[in-house]
Amino acid sequence: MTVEVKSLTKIYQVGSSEELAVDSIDFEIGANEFFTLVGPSGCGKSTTLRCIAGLETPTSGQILVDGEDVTQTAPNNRGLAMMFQDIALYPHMNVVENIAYPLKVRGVDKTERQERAREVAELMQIPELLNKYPGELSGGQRQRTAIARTIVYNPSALLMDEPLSDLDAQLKVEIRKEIQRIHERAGVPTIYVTHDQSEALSMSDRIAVMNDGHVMGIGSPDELYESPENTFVAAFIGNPSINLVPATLGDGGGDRVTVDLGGEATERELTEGRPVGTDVEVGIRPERVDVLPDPDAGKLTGTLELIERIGDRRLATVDIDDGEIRALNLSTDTLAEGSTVSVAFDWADVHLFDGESGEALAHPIADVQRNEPTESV
Amino acid sequence: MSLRESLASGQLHGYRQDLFGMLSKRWVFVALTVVPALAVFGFVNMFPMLWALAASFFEVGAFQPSWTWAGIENFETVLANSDFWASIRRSVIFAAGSVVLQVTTGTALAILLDRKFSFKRVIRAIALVPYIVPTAVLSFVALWMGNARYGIINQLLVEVGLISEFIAWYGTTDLAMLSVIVTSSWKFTIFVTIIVLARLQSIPASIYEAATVSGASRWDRFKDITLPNLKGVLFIVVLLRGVWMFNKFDIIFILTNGGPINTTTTASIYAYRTAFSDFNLGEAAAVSTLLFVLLVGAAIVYFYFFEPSQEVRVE
Repeated sequence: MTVEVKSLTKIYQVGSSEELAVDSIDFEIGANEFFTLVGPSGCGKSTTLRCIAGLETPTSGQILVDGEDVTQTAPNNRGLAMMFQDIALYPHMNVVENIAYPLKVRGVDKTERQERAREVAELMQIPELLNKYPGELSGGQRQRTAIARTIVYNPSALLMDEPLSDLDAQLKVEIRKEIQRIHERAGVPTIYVTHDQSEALSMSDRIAVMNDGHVMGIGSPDELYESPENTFVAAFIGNPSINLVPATLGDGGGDRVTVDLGGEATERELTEGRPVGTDVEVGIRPERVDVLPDPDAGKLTGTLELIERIGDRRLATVDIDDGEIRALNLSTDTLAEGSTVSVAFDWADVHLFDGESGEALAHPIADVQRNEPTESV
Repeated sequence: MSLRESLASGQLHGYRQDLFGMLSKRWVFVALTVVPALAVFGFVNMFPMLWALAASFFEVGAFQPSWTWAGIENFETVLANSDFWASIRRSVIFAAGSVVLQVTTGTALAILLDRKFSFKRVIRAIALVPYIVPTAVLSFVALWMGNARYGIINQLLVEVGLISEFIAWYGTTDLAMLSVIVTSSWKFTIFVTIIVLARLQSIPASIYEAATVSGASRWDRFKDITLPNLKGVLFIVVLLRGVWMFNKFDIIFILTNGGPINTTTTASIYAYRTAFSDFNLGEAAAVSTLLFVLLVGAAIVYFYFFEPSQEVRVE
């Protein structure tokens, strides 16, 4: 089973004006692939999913399930399954009736559908809840029931619209695992929508980052993290977010240029030529930045504004002339907020983006090439 | 001292504190909220009920102020009268017919209004008009619309070809009851619509969407989601409309005055006649008391058989 989205566009009529929710997007989801649509709210990810489900009619474009055009097929005949943010269990049916409902509308007789619902409930570890009503279940139990309901009829794809966003952190991790287990077991494409990039990174085979109705970048979690196509993807993927510092291209021009930053320069090869003097943004992940107590030891000098604890790590925010730098590597425990420090990083770790279009010009140099003398000039 | 100054000085604050303090006292709050309603209820409902109950055991003439003790004589007379039983039967027919018509069309209209379509507001407003217009006005409008010589309904039906000649809708023994039922439903259907629509709008859209994606057709969704969710509210609507229609007086009285040849003389019309045509107030009180007992009995049976506590599931 595969799912294909071809130049999908959705325009909503809001009063007399038109609102472009999804602007001609394309992607293809392979058999058994876990594919995530991620982006800030209002980016069109849910609309895209609802178009695939058939709950919204695309303004133009096509949806193909297993090579077959289903754009005009009614949602109840597409053979898909969907999980919703508010879980959407039927409040007047007990758990077994909820799980068996898709079988009921398919005309499966009562004993068989009860049997199959029981099996799936077993799989979801909720066999003792069969006769309870949704109102009597905990959040996690409801989620499990909802998952059971989506897989009981062997759908051709699983669609999930932020199913975890109302759960507490611990439950999130638990249900996340369940979803992945079910995805593996069902062996069908899963299309998952979330605004949480860490959720996307941890679950997906491939991710499409969306913004403003466009797909800004598409790829595996590693690809998006290591070589983002543009500043939007770079900034959206990864937490804490990437540092972007403005700089100007120096000597050379064309493919091979130097970048000046903090009095230091490096020579880099660009994927696309740019003339000398082009404004660029230097991107560097906080994971790759060190904070040094000596103001002159690093590349840039600034004031240590803030130290926050994020899990087991400490995040430092350093104010520099051109903004701020977030860093996760604090060289000593004695760094004090308010003191003058310097930040250091390896030139090999930086991304370069076009200052105007945000397009990526260069990505960090892979570790294998690190030892070659390409570093500073 | 102006209000602003009082506020600034904190003086007003003190008064307000006292006011809130007093209002927060349980008995003050109870008295302020419950007593007025209770007083009105007692004066308008309880007092006449008790008065009628008492009167049913006396012989009360309209022109003599003194009551004569009659024991259960009034009840014996009423229960032995076949006219009384015939009127009860008509009340049941009128109530059942009206409830069925109002609940089905009212629910259908609610389901229609729950959808998105143009002119929805206009339709809702039009449907609400008969309910707002006083019964007397509506009844006279209906009378003229169904008039055997000039009525627009006759005119339309003849033009469409459904009937060949004008019909006296409220004046024909075979049709009078049906006409009264339809007219009362015209007025009261929107009551059902308003309540059902409120319930429909509280059903989350995602439940329908979940059902749709998992393969449920439009009919499946109606049968398995809409109807079960409406059960509780329909239970209450049927009960209320049933009781109200069983006791309905005004609309029938104006439309047919119980006629022709008593075909629309329901129990409440019968009670009215006994009181104000036959001037037998004691017997009329007995009829009313019997109706009351009958309705309470019916309500108990209704609650017993339908177990609303199970149907009205509140999430």
